[in-house]
Amino acid sequence: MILRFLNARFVLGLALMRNLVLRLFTRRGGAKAWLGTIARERLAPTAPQAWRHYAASSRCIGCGLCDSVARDNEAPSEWILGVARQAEDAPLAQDKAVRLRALAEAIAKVCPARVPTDEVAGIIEDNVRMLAAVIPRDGG
Amino acid sequence: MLDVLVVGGGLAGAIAALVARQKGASVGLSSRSWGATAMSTGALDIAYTPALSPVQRTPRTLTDHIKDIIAHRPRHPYGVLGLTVTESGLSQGYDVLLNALAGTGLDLPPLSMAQENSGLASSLGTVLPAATAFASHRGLPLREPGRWGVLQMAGDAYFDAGRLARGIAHDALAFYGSSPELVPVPLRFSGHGPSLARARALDDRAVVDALASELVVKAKGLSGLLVPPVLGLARHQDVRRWLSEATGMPVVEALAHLPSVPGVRFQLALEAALKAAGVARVDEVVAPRTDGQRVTSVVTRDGLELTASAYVLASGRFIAGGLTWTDHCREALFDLPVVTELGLLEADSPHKIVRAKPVESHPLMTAGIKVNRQLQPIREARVAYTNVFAAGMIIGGFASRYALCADGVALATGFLAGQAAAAMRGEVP
Repeated sequence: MILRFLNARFVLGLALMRNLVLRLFTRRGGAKAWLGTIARERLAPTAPQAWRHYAASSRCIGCGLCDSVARDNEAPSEWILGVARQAEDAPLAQDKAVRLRALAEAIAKVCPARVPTDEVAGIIEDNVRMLAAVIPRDGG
Repeated sequence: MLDVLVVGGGLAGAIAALVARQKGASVGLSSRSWGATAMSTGALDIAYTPALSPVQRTPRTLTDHIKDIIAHRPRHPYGVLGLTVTESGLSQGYDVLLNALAGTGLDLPPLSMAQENSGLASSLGTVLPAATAFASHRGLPLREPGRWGVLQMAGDAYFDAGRLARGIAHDALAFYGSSPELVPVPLRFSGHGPSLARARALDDRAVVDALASELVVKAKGLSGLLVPPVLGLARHQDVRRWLSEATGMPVVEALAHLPSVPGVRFQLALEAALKAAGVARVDEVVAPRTDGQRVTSVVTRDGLELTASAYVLASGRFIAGGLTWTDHCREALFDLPVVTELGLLEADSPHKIVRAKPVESHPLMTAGIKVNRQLQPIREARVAYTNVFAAGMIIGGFASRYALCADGVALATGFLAGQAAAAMRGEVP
């Protein structure tokens, strides 16, 4: 047991040393390159309050029971899962925010994970506003 | 004041409430949200012990499987209750369920403890053993020759007919030594969207007719059809009949995975039965008031204080909210201590739980409260409250996946807890 513990530390230490030595001789990587990639992607920063929203909405276990209180061909489970995990899809779900708010009370009665549907609707609205400010209307 | 207040609206809570009503008690039922019952597959698991019974080809009755559980798992509710009480509770609980579901389309056959488990085709392409299942899932004869079609709706990401045909044939051969021929039947009929939305769409006769008109051509010469479990929600009974009449062949739904249309049908049918029986729905119960020996009343989320002679705790485990984990794992309403198959949980820190060597599964999968033979919760080796009885998965010490027993536990303990609670009616707490 002790040998396995020591071996694991040795392997990790070796990998760390290798990484530090390689940095001296290569120009790749680094914080600047990483930030440059993010800038090219034009990703908007996640607001501090959004992290609190995500903590609540990520309780969704994907059981799909909220679909049972929707109407026609609606599937709120897809909206909840989508907006909770993929902020870039928010514009596509903009019109769903209104429906989510309307369904919030009914979903609360069936959702075992107690996903705060009202908050999820708020996340969609916030994301749409934020992305609308970042992404030009012509999509360029 | 109520005679009996049931906390939890899944299978165990519903059976307890219906039994108490049958005994003449006034009954209230509080549920936080839907839970595991609404996610069930369409089959009912009573007892199946593959890990305890390695020779599966040998015919084994439900009684044989229950005996295995009792012999190897003393903490399991079947072990706590003993064979005679377990089988009696199961049979009577099942009868209550049969009556509750009569006329809903979720018909069940009679249950005998002398019967074996049957193999049923699932939407994941496996054959699952189960004691019984709702009518729409039975009827695919996996032991017999024949040529069955597996329906593939266009764009259906939840039900891959080719994979299902291969998987089910493989499992049937392993399970029975024979299998019917299973052939995918690809359709243009749209299978886009989640299963519950598609089930609602198929409640419309015109949509079913469109599906049937394509099937009539493409399913010629087949013995029957295995279809995704989306054949209607409110009009489920009619949808299956329409399709069967139009094609002239039996139509069988595969068991569901999530999102489960059969699970939602089951939950809705139980709620309709509770309403018809005169069980009063009350708001979520959030806090108890006790005198140390008995529960005197409970407080609902909107501040209402409810008094009952006896209480049935059928609040499920983690999914339904019966158990919570804050600084430690505990039962959510009465703060009862939690046990696992490894013993009392409260004393263990998380790393001990993770590093422990469980027998059945991860220890938290077996978490729940400890009960005595009367199903009263136990705290520090004595009855916690004399007028509280537990039912269903809130009872800990076992993993339902290990012995495929969740519905059996709900039926047996739901019946016995409901009966015991009703016997206290009229007593002032």
